[in-house]
Amino acid sequence: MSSNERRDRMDRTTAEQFLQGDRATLNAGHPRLAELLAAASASAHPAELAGESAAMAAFTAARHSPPSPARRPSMIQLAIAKILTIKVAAIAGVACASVGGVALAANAGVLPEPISSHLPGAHSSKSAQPHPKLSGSAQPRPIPSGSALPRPSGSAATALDLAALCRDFDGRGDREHRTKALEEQRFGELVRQAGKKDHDRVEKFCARLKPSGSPIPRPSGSAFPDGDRPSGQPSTRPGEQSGYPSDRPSAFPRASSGPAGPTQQG
Amino acid sequence: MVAPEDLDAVVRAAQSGDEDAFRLLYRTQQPALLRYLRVLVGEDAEDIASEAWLQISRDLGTFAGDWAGFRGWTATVARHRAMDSLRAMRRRPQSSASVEHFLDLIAPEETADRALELVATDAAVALIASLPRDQAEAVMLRVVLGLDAQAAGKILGKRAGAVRTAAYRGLRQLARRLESAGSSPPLKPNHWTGVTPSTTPALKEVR
Repeated sequence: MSSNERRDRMDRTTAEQFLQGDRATLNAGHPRLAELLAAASASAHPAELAGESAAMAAFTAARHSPPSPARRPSMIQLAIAKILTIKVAAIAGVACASVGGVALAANAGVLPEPISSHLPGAHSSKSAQPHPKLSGSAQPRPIPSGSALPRPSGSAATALDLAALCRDFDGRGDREHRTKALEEQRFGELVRQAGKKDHDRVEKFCARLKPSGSPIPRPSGSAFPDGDRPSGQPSTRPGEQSGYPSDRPSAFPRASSGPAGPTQQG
Repeated sequence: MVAPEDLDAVVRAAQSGDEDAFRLLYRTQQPALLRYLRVLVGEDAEDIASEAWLQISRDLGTFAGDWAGFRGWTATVARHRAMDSLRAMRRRPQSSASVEHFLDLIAPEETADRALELVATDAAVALIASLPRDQAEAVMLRVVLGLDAQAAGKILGKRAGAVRTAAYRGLRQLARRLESAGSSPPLKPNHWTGVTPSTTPALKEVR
């Protein structure tokens, strides 16, 4: 019954060998564990695919929606993107190759960065020099939050003015002062663009215009109450793909033929 | 089974809108995701998997990578959805796993039955889920999702070495439990040195 004498403690090498696809060693030394892992990675059971039609429906829906479905890329993102494309081309006047990235990023609906980086005396020192490369993935993206989306008027000048107004607004000290400042006529345009004469609203609006203001929303998505979540970082993972092994056919999915070691001997 | 290199092409086809390709990706990846989610969120796994696929289908166009990348990416999406759910619940579901239950299920003559096969899979996943979470996740990502230590580390926010250690400890613990239960009379585990003192309720019941 118990020829299962080899009750060796599983050693690290065996574990790693197994994890890298060598099932034989494990079968020999730890048949039950081999069974367990084979069962855990057995081939698909029909019951596990119950959500297929729902997934297919989601796929079809996503296919027939505009490029960024359900994410509400919003008018402001698109408008800013357009402004950026024009501005970057005009101001940077760099070779197509380097501008390409910016235009691409801008078209994808990202990045207010170049707006503020072209500002006279913008907040951070790095913004003194417009650099097309800055528009990489490290930039904040404007996230529309409410239903009443701020609509930029569509001219670069307005975007610049808004950024300047935001800096003024920021400079008004504490919350109370800033709330009061919103009553002033000079902030009228800012309030209009933010959509409401509300301190938080304006502050959020400004944060989106500012390169250092808001961190990129993480893909975990819980910060987006309306369920419009950014993706589970498809944009960051691709660079790392080479890290995944493509040569592990034995790992998954795998028929339960898996480790063939005898469970009970004798 | 479709070879990994063919699945690279399937990923591309799905990205360009091919429904059959997406269906194949779903069928190939869903079981692994579901089992991984079961370790994370227990009975909510189906719901969370649906959420994950919703996001996967929506964001597939922005994903760039091959089949291996797709496996890692989908696991990341699923994990994020699971973490959101756990935050909302503020606890990790309890796993009711029993070594004996699993051992009963893997009697060779019975595994031909598809229904039992699924039960065995569920029991195996439940046993893995009863490990400390870092170990359980490392084992699932490496064994069931077929990711290497580095890829799993990226998903978990850990170094590859830490994932290797966690997976090893998980396997060791599982081996110990399995081999001290079942047909042979229970043995005292004290001749094993360096064992982690933490044992789960499931293990205590068994002894």
